[in-house]
Amino acid sequence: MAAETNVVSTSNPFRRALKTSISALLVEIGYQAAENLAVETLVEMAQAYIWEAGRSSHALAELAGRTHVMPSDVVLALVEMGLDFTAIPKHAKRENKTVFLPPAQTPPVAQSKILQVGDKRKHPSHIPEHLPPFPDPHTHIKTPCFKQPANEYQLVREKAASQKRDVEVALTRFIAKTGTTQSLFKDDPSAFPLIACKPSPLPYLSALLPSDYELSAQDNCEADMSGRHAVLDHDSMGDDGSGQTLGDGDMIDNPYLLPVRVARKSWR
Amino acid sequence: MASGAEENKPEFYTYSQENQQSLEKSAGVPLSDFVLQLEDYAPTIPDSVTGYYLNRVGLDSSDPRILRLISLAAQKFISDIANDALQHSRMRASGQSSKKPGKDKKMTLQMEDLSPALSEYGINVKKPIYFV
Repeated sequence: MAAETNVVSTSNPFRRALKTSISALLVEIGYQAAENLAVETLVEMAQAYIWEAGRSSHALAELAGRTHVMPSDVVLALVEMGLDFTAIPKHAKRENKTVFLPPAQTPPVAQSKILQVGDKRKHPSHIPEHLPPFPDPHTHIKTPCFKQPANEYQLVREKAASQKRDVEVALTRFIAKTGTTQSLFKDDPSAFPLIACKPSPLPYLSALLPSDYELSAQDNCEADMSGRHAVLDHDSMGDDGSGQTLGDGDMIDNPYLLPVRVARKSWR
Repeated sequence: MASGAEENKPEFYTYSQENQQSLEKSAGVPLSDFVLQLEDYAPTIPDSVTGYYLNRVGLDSSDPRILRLISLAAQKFISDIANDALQHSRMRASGQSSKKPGKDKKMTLQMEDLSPALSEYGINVKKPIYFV
């Protein structure tokens, strides 16, 4: 209780009014001035007195089984607090009683008109009419201002397919531009260029032989030399497809897949 | 300062035992008459102030008579204390006036008068250290 009252002491208008009325009482008695400390002490005591009177009369009313306090409860509470009640009427009818006007209620601030934006939505049929209306539409209607990422299955598949097709077309074009081409139409060689077909004596051999990627991966695990040999052996078979694999293997620009060269020099 | 009110609670109860008998003699018809008179009576402590403090202890104060009764009681309490303090200061002034005669001073409520007056009511007031 003490902490609470001390906190609000500076700003509480009720406490200020109480201070004013206590000052009026002091003037009635015959004081002309007062120390701030003394007045504050009296204010605090009056506050505690009202507090205690209210609390105990409330408790008495509840003891009697009532929720509303009756004057008899208050009288009993005040008597319990040590008040000589016979002196109260005399005190009430004293001659030089001062009554200062109670602090007027602050006039309610005029509410400025709310700007009407848009038309309010009507209630759906399952909401009764007496319920409050919808607020302005801009306050509750959601309009996303970014494009939703396409994560539906069909869209993703279509996109992947089109990308794959694009890559294939680009690669075909690139090879057609760099390598030899054959044209479908004799009069216009640049109309529909086809990649030139390289005839080989054993066309099924490339399918039978292990692929170059597997070979090079194995070789990197072992030694550099043996890998070289394996590729060279592969080449010595005189196959066109495998000759191309050697060329591809030399063009690898992944440094982790490149064969090691420094070792031989330092070894000698 | 507020803790003083809680400390003196036992003191209040000792007082009540003395006054209970005086009330029994006088209460009854005069009390209810007086309470009726409170309908149009304006105490010095405004109703709204008392109502505010009563609301804070959980008392719904729809009846103005209750407010005014408690206001009057608080007023009486404060007035009695202030009166005692006034007597103290007069006594002190009469003791001093022999030394410094002819000095017409304003009556000022001071803590040195208020403290003995309060101690009669069982309230020990010490000056708070950081009170401005």
